[in-house]
Amino acid sequence: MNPDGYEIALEGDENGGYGRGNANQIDLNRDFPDQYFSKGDHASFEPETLAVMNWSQSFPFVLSANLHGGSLVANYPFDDNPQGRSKVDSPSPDDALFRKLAKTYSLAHPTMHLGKPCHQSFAGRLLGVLDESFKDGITNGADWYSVSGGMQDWNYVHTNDMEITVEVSCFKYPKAKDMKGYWDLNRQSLLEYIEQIHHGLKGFVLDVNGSPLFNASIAVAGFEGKNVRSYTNGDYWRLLLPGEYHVTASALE
Amino acid sequence: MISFYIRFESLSKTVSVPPYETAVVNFTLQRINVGEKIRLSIPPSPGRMSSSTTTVLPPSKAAHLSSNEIENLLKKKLKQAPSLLCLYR
Repeated sequence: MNPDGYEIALEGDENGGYGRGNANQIDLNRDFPDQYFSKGDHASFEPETLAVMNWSQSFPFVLSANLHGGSLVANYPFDDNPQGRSKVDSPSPDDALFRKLAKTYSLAHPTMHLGKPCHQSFAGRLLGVLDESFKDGITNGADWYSVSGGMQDWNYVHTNDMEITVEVSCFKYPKAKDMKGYWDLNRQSLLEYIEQIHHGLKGFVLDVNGSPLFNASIAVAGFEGKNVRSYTNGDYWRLLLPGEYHVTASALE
Repeated sequence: MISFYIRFESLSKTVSVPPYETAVVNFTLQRINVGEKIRLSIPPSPGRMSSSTTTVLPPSKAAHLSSNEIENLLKKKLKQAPSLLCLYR
């Protein structure tokens, strides 16, 4: 998402000192509209953020993960809370589902599920162990540290998509020679994560003539705040854990 | 251009999601016909609040018309009765 930052980033940079921001020095993962903290009526967003938002809302994505470096954990919504406080659990309506999604990734990873923290170093010198540990290798975002304006929570609030953030490496910018190793470590997790799209509901919303209803709302009782919308053929998908649900479809044409 | 929505009747179902597969649940929604009226929603615009109902057509005529055909008939009605616009101020 940040090609300008990538251009100036340094391979092997463990702590991500260069290339975090875009060409305007903006951290794009703090630039998305936040559900708790508004930028104001005249807010502007970076072109990269606008492009990703437009793309994300153009297609009915069901499940996604955004891959990060800097730790080894599967992080799930919400990343912040109305007080902006860290070390406070901030569950979304789909908290149980997100825990399952995050655990699916973590348990399939050879070491992520052990929940051990990264070592902290500077210029090759080991400074110590970061003050963090993750039971089963997963964490609620705000319970780790509060992030406002992140892409993960924006996806949950503004699209059909369920997204988690996967920290795959203690190194912010791993060396190219190590990429095969990271692929081997994460391949099974990625496959098992993708398979989770086959849980929940899917179907079509049509009118009495059999014509598709685009942008119909599918609401699940008890999960207010995460209605999904049907796509151009009236098709919809809604991830859910096994169980019984009361589902309502409604439409305006 | 007149923009409006045709409202459909909501439909609720109790569904069971199984452990290892996706449940297929389809919905067929009826257009809302309220007695002799078809229910339209006109979205808000400057100087006009939204409205949830208006009289347009009897259901026997309205049921099979496309959105374009309904829009054209609504435009005709508004031309014949311009005071209708006052309802939405």
